[in-house]
Amino acid sequence: MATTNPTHSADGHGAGTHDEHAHGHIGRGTYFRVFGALMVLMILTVVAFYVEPLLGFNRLVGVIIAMAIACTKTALIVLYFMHIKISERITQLYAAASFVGFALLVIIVMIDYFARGWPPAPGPLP
Amino acid sequence: MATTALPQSTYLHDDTPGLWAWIKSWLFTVDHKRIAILYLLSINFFFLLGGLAATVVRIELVTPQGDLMSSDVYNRAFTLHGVIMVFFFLIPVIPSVLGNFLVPLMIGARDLAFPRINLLSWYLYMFGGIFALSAAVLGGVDTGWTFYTPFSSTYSNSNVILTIAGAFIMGFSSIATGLNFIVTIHKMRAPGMTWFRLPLFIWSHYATSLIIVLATPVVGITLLLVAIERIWGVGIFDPALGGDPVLFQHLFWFYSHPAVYIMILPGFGVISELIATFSRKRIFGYEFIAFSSMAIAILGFLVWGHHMFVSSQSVYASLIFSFITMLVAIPSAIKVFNWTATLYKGSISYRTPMLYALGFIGLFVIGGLTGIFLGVVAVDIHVTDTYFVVAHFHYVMVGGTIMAYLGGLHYWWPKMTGRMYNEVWGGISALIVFVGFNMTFFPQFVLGYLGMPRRYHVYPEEFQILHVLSTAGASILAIGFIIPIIYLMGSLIAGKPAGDNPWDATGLEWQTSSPPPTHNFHETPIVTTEAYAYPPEAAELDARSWRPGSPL
Repeated sequence: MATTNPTHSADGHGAGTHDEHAHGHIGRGTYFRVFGALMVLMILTVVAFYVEPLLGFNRLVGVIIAMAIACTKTALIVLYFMHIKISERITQLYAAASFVGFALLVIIVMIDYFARGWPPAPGPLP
Repeated sequence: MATTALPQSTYLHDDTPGLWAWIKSWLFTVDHKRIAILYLLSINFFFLLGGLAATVVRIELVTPQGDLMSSDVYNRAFTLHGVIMVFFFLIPVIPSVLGNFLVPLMIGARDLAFPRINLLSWYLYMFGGIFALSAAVLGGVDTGWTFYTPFSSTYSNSNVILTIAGAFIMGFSSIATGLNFIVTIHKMRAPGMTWFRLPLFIWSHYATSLIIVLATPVVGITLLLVAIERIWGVGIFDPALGGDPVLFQHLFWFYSHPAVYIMILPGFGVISELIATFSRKRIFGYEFIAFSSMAIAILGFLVWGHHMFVSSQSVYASLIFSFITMLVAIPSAIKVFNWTATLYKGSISYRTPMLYALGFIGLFVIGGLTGIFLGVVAVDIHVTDTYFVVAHFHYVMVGGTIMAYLGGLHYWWPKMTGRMYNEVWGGISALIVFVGFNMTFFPQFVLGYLGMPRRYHVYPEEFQILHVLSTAGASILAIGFIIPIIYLMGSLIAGKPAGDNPWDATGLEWQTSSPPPTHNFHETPIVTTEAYAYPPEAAELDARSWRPGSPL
């Protein structure tokens, strides 16, 4: 199946893989800006909680606003603090796959919740 | 082929002076082969323990009355059996033992990508095991291995949290192993080892690792939520507190159905290797088998609701889950048909690993097809929580995973230890396992169909004959498991040196010495051919040169 190569490093890096050192770099300034953005979003969440009732928003709108802020914060953390923005394509693919898996879990479970009672169960026989 | 002595410089040899230094050299090793041996010993210990719990259950069921133990003790016995077998044996066994040993060897690497994380995974496994065992010692847990709420979160007065903590910690061990495999397979393949030259064992471990890293966190969080509800009374699953018990089942089965594929996919990889080697043929439909592993991994995430047909899940959700469940049969059948096609006109030799492989195919087909029955809503409602389900998943897990594990262990034992075992005893024990297994679990299909519910320690008298048959089969099965322990241990002392490639197999692991040196290869292999590159005429030449008395 194989021949051997005494001159090649025994680490045996993957055939056909890209140079993994070709990474980008996130500067310290960016980390501080992202941190600042996270703090602002956190304050925004708290403010929204108190302001929404004053503006007469119903609870569902409040939940949507809170979720939107939370998703933005998650995206910032994943992209910058977890280095996904400057990672290799395969790492980005795995990160995306985990979100697809999570989305499947939430969507299918919610479909079950919405569809319960369809069709209505027949009542007791006369 | 066979040599007269073992090589001097292997991963098993130590120059360290003194017992303590020797123990330290094992407990702090970062060599993937030594970690595989640590896993081999600890996982087999848990297997024996889980088997002991199963023995207690089977003995109780010999008679219709609950005369050996109370219902409460019986609940704790089958829960112990389930928790140990699922979390501490079936899920880790093939990846952690065979995968750890073989993944780097098969792809021509010196070790896994993260050797220290690999060692950490073994420690996490042991800590998780200690938690689960301490729960058993302190009185056990009575929820069943599924920890269904609200019983587990509110009503059970047994050691739920300790057991959950054990499974939770064990999950991190799994994730560490899966992560290591993914990075290693992507980054550390030898020059020339392209994706379509990878052995199918590697493809199946890649698919398994994908499931592990994506699904295990979900069960970890789910179990944590049960603990939070139990400790602080936060309403998550208990309806009395505003929670929903069906949510637990969704979250639990989102992991635990893919977990079935964590158990069986590595077994598929083992069987592909065995079938090709002992048929002396290139595997039929390599690409189809490789992609079917990936298809099973992906589809496995979409079918969890077939465990919940009677849970008050929406009828429409059940129909969709039922339909997608049928789709899983396609990649599974692709594998079975391709293995069978590989056997066709092959030079088949009935060595011990091959006996396990052939047994696997038959038993997995039964396990898989009964899974189709259970995927049909109408049939499932009839047999839910009966022995039909118990028989089905034992056909998949014992008939599948354990047969593959034993086949793989026998196949690579000469590589791991450098020594051959007694082939006669190997064949006998494989047959005993096959007979004992069928005798244990086939009657359970009938029992379930006739209405015997699972998890009951008393039952109507008309079921006794089938239960006695099942318990007798379990005794035979136990003998079949004990015999290999004896002759494999014996082979370490008196086994003939195996030589580098006792099976005349292809694959990089057979190109290095047996046992391999610490860094696997003295020179990095360069791969120039596909996997399973048996010469096309190999089977024909073997058949012509066969004479009475030649090994089968």
